[in-house]
Amino acid sequence: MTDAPALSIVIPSHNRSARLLRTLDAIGRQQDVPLQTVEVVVVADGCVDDTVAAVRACDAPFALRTVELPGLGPSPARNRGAEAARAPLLLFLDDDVEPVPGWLAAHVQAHERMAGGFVLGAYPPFPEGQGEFRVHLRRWWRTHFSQLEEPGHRFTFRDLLTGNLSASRDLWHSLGGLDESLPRAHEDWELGVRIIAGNVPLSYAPDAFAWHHEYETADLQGMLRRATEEGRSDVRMGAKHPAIKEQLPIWRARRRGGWKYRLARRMFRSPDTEPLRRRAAGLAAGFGGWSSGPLFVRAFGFAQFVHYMHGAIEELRTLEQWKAFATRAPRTPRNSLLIDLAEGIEQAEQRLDHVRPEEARLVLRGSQVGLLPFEAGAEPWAGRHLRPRLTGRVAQPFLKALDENGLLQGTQMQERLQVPASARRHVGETGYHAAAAEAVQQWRKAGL
Amino acid sequence: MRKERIRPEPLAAEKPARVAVLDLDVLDLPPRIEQADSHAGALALLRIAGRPCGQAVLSFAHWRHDRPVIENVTAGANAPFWEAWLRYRLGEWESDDGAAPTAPAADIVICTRDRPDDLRKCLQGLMAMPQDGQEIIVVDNASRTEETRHIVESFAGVRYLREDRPGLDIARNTGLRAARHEVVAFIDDDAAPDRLWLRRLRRNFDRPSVAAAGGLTMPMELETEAQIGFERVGGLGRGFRHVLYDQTNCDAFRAWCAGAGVNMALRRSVLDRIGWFDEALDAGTQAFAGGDADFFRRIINAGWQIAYDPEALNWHRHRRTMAELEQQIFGYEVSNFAIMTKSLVYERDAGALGALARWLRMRAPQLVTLATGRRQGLPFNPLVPQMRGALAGPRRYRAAVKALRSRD
Repeated sequence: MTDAPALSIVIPSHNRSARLLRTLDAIGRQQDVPLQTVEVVVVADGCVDDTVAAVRACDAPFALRTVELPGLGPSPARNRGAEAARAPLLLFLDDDVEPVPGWLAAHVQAHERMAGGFVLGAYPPFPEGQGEFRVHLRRWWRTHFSQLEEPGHRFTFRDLLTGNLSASRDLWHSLGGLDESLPRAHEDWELGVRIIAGNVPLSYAPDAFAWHHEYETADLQGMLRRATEEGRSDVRMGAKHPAIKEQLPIWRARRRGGWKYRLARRMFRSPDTEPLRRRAAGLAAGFGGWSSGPLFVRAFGFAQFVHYMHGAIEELRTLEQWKAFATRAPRTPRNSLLIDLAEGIEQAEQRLDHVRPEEARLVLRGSQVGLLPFEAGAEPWAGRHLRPRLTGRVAQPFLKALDENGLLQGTQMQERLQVPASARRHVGETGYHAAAAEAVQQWRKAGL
Repeated sequence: MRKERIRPEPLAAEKPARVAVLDLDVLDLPPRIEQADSHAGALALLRIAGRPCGQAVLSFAHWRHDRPVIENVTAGANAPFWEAWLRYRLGEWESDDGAAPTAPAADIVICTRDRPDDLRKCLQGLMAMPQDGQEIIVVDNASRTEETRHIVESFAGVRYLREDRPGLDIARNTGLRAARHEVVAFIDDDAAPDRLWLRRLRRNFDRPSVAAAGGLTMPMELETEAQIGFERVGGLGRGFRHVLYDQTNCDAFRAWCAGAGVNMALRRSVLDRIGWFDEALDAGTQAFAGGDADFFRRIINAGWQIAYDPEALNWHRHRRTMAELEQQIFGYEVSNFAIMTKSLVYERDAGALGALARWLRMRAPQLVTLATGRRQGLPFNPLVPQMRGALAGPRRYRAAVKALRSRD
């Protein structure tokens, strides 16, 4: 193909040819975007299976190329893939992520809506496989994507995942791609830190949907190995970006003074932690074998922490180094704002958009409404965050403040509404039981 | 479907109507509520710009006639209404344009037995909905008369299927086999849909992880003490907030939180993964109910999501007599224990023990009501049929399975 493509899809892969072919097949079934304008770059990183041959033999309706690497890890693989890509729009997809119809068009449309930013697509686990470990992973993924989907979500560096991500090639290269000193874990978060710090727009496109076949590629041992890599990466990331240190488990463990602190201190002092890691992994695997619910979650969390600290210790080496790493960073917002909502919602939004404060206090005349809090590594507050916050997290105090100031009108000016105290208590609740309890109270109060 | 009766004698004389059922749009209220003169109170569905968003329980004894209707109505409104009102006032509330969703197309299945009058009302409501290519399929489940067939034939385009083997889950499976579209919505024969019921259910299937959806069911009438009593202890309500349930936030044995057979829709392709409705459950079997709850439980266990969408609204005529209500409460608990038995004995899932423990923890404190006589306004203590149902559930499920096997 001689024409320059409009869209390049970069797929790093490591010895998963069967799964990769299914992903390629799913790309071939995309509609609404002409596939002859699409190129796919498969980065075969350290593949000893038939990946390269299988991709060459693949009869795809799009241009398909391979880049071979000797096993450098996912972040160098994505960088080399992005360098080889020729289209102005880059799309990163993992080899175990299978798009559904409409996925490609949704990415393209999201960039038409918001130029010059990163678009995160959804890729929750495909429901396959049983057991506590699978449920635990699904919980993590689902929580992650449902948070992104909340109206007015405030993005943080941890929202950035590279399994289903798109951006313009210029933006990607101007940011310098992924940091290859974090080859195997949290290179996505590190990019997220730079995106947030650079005020680069981020958006989430739930309709850019793909199924993550993690049941084929993630097992308990693999996740614990990954935890070790995360520990290693977090130390490097914290050194590079001290401002977000406090968001890292390695920092928080140092500060809490709880069991994590005591355990980590012991691990620093006794260099051979292999038996401890093995026992922790065995415990988690044991609880994973039956419906142990929260017991598994705790055992797995313990094993993850032990492995994470092992990776961090390999980087930090000594307890003194850890203490030096985890000294408290000055935790004050650069700019803070006081907003009186009585001046009007539009005005408040404009001020937020103008100032982009790291923290804002909301009041309504004399009444407190709530705080838009400071959080390291999160994007500064903007106008689009305000209304969802007022109707969500702070709906209860906001209703109270409107009530107190006589600002809760009906459809006519002279109508004064009052929120019954019994209803106000239930504002912001979720779930069936809260709803049922409120209905029972309503009937009791009416005395019918 | 008519539930099997085990205690036909009525427990209490039925009193005349006291509570009106209203459907009010807060942006378009009548100048006065006429039912205030004839009723003691009302249960009002509240809408904003057409979209259902909350309910108010109103006592006309406390009505302030000198104040506008909106002030009186909202004084009894629940929290979800106020959350919606806030969104409306902040311009975050799109009005109900009723646009057809891009989600997969749907068919509708109604399973019925000998309820011609209710069925006619239901079909009238279904025909009034916007046509998005849905087919309406009536599964006549061993009715004794031909009346059901005649009524269906009087509605053009409605498909009639006869299923001679009695049992609600058998009829549901027959309906599922006959449906052509990817989504199949179910409505009870004694219910009537809101105009946008199907579109609102359907839109949830935009999300590939959603295998089923449940909607909000409000009472069609509250004319007898039994109907009011049922509503007072919870009715069929599942709340007024949109929720996505899955195994990460919902215990599989509580999957009925996401909806019930009276108002639900399924994605047919998941049948390959989780199987069909259990024909040893629900009306027409020894287990009385629970076909829907068991199906939802299996969806949750398999890792899929169930959307609860309160804007997918329909109206249900609750049982009119106390005897029927008591029987229904008994039947719910029978089916609850039938499902636990199925899970523990037939599927070897220890999770049922957790469900049993939670049930005991919930019910044990209620035992004091046997002594204090608190009955939540009912002439009988609901705990009594619940306990009887719990004890009978396991035995009844085994009997239902046996009956099913001997028939095949």
